[in-house]
Amino acid sequence: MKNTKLGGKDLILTGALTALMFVIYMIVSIAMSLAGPVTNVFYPAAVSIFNGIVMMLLLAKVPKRGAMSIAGIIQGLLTFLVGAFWTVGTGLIVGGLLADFLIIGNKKISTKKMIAAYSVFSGIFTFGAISPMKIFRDAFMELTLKNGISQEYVDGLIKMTEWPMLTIIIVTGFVCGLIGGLIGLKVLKKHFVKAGLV
Amino acid sequence: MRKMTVREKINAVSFHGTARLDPRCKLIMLMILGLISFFINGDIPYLMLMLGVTIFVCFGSASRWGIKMLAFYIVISYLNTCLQYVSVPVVSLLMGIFGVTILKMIPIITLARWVLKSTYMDELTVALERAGMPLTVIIPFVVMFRYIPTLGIEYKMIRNTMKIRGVNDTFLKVIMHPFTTVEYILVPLLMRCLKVSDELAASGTTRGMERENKRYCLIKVEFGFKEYAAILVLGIYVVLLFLLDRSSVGQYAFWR
Repeated sequence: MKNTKLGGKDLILTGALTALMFVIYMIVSIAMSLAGPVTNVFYPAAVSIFNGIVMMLLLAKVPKRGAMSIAGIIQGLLTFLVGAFWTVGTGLIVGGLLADFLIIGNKKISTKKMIAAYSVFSGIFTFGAISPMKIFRDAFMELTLKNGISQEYVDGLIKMTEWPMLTIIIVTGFVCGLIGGLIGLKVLKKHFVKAGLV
Repeated sequence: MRKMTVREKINAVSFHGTARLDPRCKLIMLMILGLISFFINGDIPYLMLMLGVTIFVCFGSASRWGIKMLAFYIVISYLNTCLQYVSVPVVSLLMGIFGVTILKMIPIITLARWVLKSTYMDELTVALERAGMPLTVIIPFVVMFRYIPTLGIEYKMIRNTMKIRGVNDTFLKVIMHPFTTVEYILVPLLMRCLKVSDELAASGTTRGMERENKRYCLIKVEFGFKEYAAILVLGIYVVLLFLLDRSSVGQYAFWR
């Protein structure tokens, strides 16, 4: 009889991997926001590709409902702490919960479900991170300007998030979730299964 | 030298002063700091915030770290304002953003690292449990706090091994081949992570971590008068900073 409750071992693994995911998120987001407004809007997609490997490992080791939502919730809370706009953390939390409850049911988990869940998570995260630049535009831009970032950067951001571009960015979020999941599975098969760790 | 009794050995903790506050209080302070540092934008109120954080940390037996961070903050503030007068086209934009991001993060990083270093893990577990959080929240939280320094150590060891093997040893090579970098660093890091968490889980289960019953701790953990006083002082300080920010003192460009 399969045990579907999260045991101590699963929780510890979730905590450790979430810490790793958060560190990767911070490094990639700082690196990409430096390179200019063009790459700044694509940072959730890049983060999704890198975190795909870690998340696939988490789902493979803890194929239970709740692993992904805990990861999403903890990362969301940490982004609140570090001081990003409030929709980023909310997007992470909502994305984690949604992906968990919609896709990972109590039946056996297959790789297709894992990739689908992760791509939903990454899409909602992208939406949460980038859409305030369009929807709550005034509040966001005013806050960014007050923080001391120069006007040209803000203008570049505004130019980048006009309507057709915005849909492209969100679609890229979903697609990069897919790519991240596929890369993660490939890396899992190549290294971890051979070493017998999955 | 006379022999210490067991009670004296237990009470001889190595952290004094504000580090002995309840962990819940420290976490609340960290959250409040994160929220307000997002809203305060003047030069002088921000400097006062940083000074407040440094004084707090110095009281908690980590004075070298506090003063180092304060000096770092002052240097970067000064460089940031120098940047507004010198303008090289592309570089100044990048350095401006870099400087501002780092500046916002310095108080948070100071307080966060001090909280991590000065809290014992069993204290934190008991405090969180008394606050009523379920086990599924406490364990990942505590593991995360405990694991981030370990991540740094593992990363250094992996870089050392890469240098020995001659793989991507210079910084330039790391940037030039991003995907191989990710594969050579991330995959061993994940394998170490799996091994470490297996060991942690075994040790935790041996100590009875999974049982859903009341926990105890050797060091006394209580949310008492000191904690309320600390939060009150913090509240007053925050209100003061907000008022200063709104008034004309906040607009004054301090660094010239």
